[in-house]
Amino acid sequence: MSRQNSDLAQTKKHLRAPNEVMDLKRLGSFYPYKLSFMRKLMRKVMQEQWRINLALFNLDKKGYGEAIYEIKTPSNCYHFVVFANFLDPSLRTDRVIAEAWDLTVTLRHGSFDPTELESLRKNVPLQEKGRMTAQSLVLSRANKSSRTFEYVINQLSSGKQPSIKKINEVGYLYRTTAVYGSGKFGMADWSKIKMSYADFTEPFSAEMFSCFMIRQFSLDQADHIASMCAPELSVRLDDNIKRYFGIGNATGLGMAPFLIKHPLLINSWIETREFALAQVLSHTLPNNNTLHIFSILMQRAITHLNEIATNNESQNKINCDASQALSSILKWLNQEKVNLTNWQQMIQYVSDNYNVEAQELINTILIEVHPEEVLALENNHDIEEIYELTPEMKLLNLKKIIENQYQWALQYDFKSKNANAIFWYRSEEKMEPRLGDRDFDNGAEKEILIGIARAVEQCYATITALPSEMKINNVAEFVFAYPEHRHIIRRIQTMAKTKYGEIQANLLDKDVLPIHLLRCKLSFFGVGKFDPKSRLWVRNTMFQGAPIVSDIGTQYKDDWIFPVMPSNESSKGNEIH
Amino acid sequence: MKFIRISINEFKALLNRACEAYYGHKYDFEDTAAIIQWLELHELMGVVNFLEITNVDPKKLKLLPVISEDQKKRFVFHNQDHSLIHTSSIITDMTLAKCHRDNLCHTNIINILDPIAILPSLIKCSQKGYHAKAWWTDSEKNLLHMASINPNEQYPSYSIIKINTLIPNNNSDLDLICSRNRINSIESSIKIQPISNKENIIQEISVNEFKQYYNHKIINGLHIKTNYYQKLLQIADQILVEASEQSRLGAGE
Repeated sequence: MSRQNSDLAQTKKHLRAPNEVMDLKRLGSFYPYKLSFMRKLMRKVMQEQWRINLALFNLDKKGYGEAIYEIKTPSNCYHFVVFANFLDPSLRTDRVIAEAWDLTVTLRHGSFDPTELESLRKNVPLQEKGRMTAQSLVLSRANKSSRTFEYVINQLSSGKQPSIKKINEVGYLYRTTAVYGSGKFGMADWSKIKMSYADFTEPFSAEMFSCFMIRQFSLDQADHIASMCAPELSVRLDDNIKRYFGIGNATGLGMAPFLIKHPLLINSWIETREFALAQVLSHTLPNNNTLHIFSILMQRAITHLNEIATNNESQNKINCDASQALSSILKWLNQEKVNLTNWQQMIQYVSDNYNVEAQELINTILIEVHPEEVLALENNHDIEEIYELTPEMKLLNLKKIIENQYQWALQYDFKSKNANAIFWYRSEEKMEPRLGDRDFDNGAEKEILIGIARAVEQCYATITALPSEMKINNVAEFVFAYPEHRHIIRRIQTMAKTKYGEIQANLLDKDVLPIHLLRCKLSFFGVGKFDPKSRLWVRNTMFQGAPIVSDIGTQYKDDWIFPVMPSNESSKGNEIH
Repeated sequence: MKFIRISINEFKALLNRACEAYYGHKYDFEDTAAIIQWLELHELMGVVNFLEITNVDPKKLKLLPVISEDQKKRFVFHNQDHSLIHTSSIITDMTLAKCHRDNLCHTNIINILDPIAILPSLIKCSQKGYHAKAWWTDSEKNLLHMASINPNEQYPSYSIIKINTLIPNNNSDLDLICSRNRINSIESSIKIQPISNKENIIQEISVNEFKQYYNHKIINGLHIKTNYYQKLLQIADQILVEASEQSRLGAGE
């Protein structure tokens, strides 16, 4: 066995079991990590030194108007176009069904022909009702944070910097309410982006970059309005404070069906994360340096958790418990570090004594401490999503696959009311995904096929109840007789070759918590500071602590995990480089 | 004539919704949508053919073909005058399973509409490592359609040939051969002479041309007649549920 193969075998030994990882509650405890999409994007932007300049900044004194940023990467040129309009505060809503926004934006490829601005003016502010060209990569919109925006402008106009504590209550000036890419509304297809734009070949990277640019515009706009209000007195936002501003985001149920409909993609995301953890566990040992960095990050995570401001009681408790758990683990680590011979000992201790939230925080920090082990996995996320039937497979084999790999799906009793209480559907209002109660709401006959456990259970029940006289031997014969199961069998057969694609939960259950699905997906994006508004939607913060445009070209530390208030005394000395 | 330009992803999502609305969950609607999408993206009238199908009340659809003959290396299916768009997958499944067992399967499908829908199925045969050929005739125009593919290829080659002799096959029949070994000739099966004369070939789509059709649409999107697009939207919208104050609560307000 070559050394490479032996290393791989060692890593594989440390991979966690699917039933442990794919548990819904654990998925809902994931934190952004080293290979989250925003972190990857920032590494690329900073390492390649993208040049981002204002090509047009035509805003009036209230900040309304148009702005165009020109973005030059080593291989391409893009433009980020912003339309900032007055919005009646009574119309400001996070819901996807909104019709007007404070900002509407697009990211497009190529040189900018001024005549195209007119077409963008007509279409971008319409969002879903407009049509875009195949040169456009992203269409998005954002609303002001009513709490922060006015406050920041007032402070800057009166020559003062805003209070960090006050900023921390929200964390951003604008909040995006939808970010569209991948061919929506006539824009460039994902296949085209992969083929033509080397800068955005990672999934969702163009969307993430657009959010980064909205954040940048929000900071530029704030400086502009303040300087227009009080040209003599005003000050510009301090760069340290600018970095502490993120861009807000409101995410609803729309993300949940995505996770279910793309299990191969999800498998690839989670497998990469699990592989990174396994790689660290199998190939590194604690030493003075890594233990020191580990402790610094633990302390920073504690501060970060303590600083999160949310009115959601349950989230507050999660943050508070996690912070206490980390403090206690840190104490244990300080006592035990001389005896710690491998990281697995610590993982075992945390797993035996603390909940999944604390466990996943520790895993995230452990990965962060070992960049050399995980950055090699950076380009692993893109896969071809094909769910093909294997018609020649013996029916008995299919049955065994279900029994072995989908056992989790067979544990529910779908005859019970609670297990089949909820249905997911698309509303006529912008096709917004919604949940309905089978007993009370209309539309169950049009439900989205999101109940994987139920579909597997029904397929399995049909197989086990097959009359022997039917003489069905293989999958082709079975789907010929029962075509309603072809869809789920394609999925089962495809996913049987993977480890982590299926979320092991019944999404039709009365007490289902879709918020776990949202948080899982958002963690892969790199989103933090979750502020749930109900069990169905969540506000969160992106790019908090990340570099700003003026940092491009300076040395990059890639050290903005668990952002903390810049003026907070406890954060001093928390830098790991 | 008015056209609308849409992206491939948009088109795929639209077809998925339209097929879900029309076929319901009793069939593999996503697979059917994928066939229509493939045909349209490769200039083979997927949308027109699908819209034609939707003129029939879905409740009256009997989508399953009937097996008329099932022997070693041989299947005959009766497609009951339905479109091959919604049966080609399950017929191909059966053919592939038999080919896996017997190394070859010659499948004859009688009484079909839209035989062109076999083309994406040939790719499935190829992906499984088989050689595959399909042919069918148009007796009104005296045309023979032939498509073939080798193992692990992305596209088949497809040609339409003018024939001078009487066509032995029925107009609505299709033959599909799937084999582990190279299929050297189909002349013996259909007894038509001469089929290889280049002068008689009236249309040919090569593997490269198929690729070009697709790549062009990746870059530019595809243009669909506005009235077809509207009709697809109309069908697709049937899966949407009426909104109400109560339903808005179901999104988390």
